[in-house]
Amino acid sequence: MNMTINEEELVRQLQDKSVQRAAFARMVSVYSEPIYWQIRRIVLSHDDANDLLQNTFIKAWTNLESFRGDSKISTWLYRIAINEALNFVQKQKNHFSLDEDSSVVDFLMSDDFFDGDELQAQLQEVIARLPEKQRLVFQMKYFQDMKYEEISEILGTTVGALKATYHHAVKKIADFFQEED
Amino acid sequence: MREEDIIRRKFGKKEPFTVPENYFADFAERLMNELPEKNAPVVHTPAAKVRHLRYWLATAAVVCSVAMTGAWIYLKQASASKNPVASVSVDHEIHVSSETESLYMEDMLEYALVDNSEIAMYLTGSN
Repeated sequence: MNMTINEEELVRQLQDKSVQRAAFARMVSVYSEPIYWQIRRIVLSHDDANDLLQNTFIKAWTNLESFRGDSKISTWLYRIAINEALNFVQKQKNHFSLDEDSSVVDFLMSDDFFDGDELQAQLQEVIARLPEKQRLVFQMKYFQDMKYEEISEILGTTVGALKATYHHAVKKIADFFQEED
Repeated sequence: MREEDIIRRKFGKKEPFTVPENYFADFAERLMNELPEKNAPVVHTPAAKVRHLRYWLATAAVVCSVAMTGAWIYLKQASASKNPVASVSVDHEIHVSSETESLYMEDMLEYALVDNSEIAMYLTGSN
């Protein structure tokens, strides 16, 4: 993420109708990549992640007037993106039938935009089977190295609860692979 | 955390996902081309009004049809009892008293979902 961006100035420009569109384009170029990866971790497929990324920014554009800079731009975008992705997964629950073994593994191994081996696909499957909150917290903490305070702002959960959630998630994943070995 | 070390040793932190070439470079341009104009009028009111009106019309239609069906069933039953298909000779006459007629009327009004006070208001012309 480009940390040199002047967040305050960008928020001001996003509210200024004369430069709003250009400011929004800047915002998209800065945040599209981290937001994409957040969505992709949840939905796994590139095509779905691409659609949801577009929806996220279109929703942000439509609701730009309601964003007053009370939270960071990234926090606001992450919230929209996570909601979009979770709603999508909810609707597509049958897409990956988690009752059948290795369905996520099968999907990933045949996906052109997955370059991991079967073991890594299995890790994604185990993560996908975690309860929603554990899954999100694990992905944000483990893969994105986000601080608990930042995750707390996005998910609206206390830092203490997040630490416990992360601990449970890590333990479940580690236990699974220890049993496998 | 011991468990986290197990995961890190086994998988590292690299994510095994990729994207098409130049995906992020092209994304912003593609999105901005699809973004609607901000000052394009978004008209919600007529659609909302029509939906509201539709709701009340549908409710009124259902109430009317229930009332009419009830009245029709009642009248059919009443006329069937007055004009029986097969005549049966009876040794005694059946007298329909005014009290019985009043009960029939109450049943019919109940079928038609009409309240006594509404009839009184209608007859007296009060609102």
